[in-house]
Amino acid sequence: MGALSQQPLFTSYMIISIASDFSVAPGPRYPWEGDNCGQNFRTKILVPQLHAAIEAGQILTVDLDRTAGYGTSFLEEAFGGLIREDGYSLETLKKNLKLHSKEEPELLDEISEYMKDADALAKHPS
Amino acid sequence: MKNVLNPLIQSAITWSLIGFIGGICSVFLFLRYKELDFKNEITAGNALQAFTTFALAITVTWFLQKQTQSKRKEKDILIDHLDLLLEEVSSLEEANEKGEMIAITSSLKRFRMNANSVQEILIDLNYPSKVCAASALDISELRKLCTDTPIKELEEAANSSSDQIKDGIMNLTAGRRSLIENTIHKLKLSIIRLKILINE
Repeated sequence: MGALSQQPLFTSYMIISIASDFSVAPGPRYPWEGDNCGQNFRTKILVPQLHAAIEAGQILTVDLDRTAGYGTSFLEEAFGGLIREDGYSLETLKKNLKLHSKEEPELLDEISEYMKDADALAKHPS
Repeated sequence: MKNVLNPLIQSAITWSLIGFIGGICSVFLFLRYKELDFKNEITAGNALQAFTTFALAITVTWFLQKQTQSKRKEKDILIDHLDLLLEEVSSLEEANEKGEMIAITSSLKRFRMNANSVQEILIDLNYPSKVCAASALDISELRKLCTDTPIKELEEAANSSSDQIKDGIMNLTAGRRSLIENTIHKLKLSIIRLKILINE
């Protein structure tokens, strides 16, 4: 995923902060596993905002900072799930979704891997 | 670790001893083959030369001492920082044992932020590339092991209550637990190795 500063200056952004707009303590993958799960974040916050951003020709930036930390299952369900469950293509996400984390920049690569894996699985289901 | 003399002090002591012994030997040799001839007057040049030599000796000693102390303090601070990382690994182990997801994720985040900070400090202080490379403490695998829920297994568990599936899940959990223990052990060893490299 490209850094925020690498985007052209004229692009408009919509921003979601997981800490302010969802929870400071993101939880597991599914609702039955615990509160503030990845599935709820994706269906209630991320997908509607991403849809609006794509409609408006804007880029949606997701700020990952100021939370207590993330589990792999939350991140995979939230971002990999966009491809697996909601049918977005990797190309669309690369174009319209940017991630930002100053506190844990390594998360950006991890999420990128989850999205690539979900894309590979969607293209070649085993 | 902190009580062990660092290599810079050890080499300073060695060179001092060599200098001392060399000095005594040269005096004996000089006395044996030469006769000293002291003049009864001291010129302004002599006094200036003596003063300059004295001032230079004091300045060089002060500078070297200060540099050694500052380097030692720097290393102590970094090693204290690494001790915090080891403590964080212990709290991660505890949280993982209890299965508390939020405690695990926050512990992983604290670890990563501290590890990144150590690496940035090492790079800023121009530590050798070997040390900087050893400070890249990757926990992405550990995060996966500690916080990932395997989708297929969960779906199977949700859709079936057969003993075979339950056994499969139990085996998977046991396997993952031992993988986590091994990964944590490796991480601790990497931190200890980094402490040794910094202390060199």
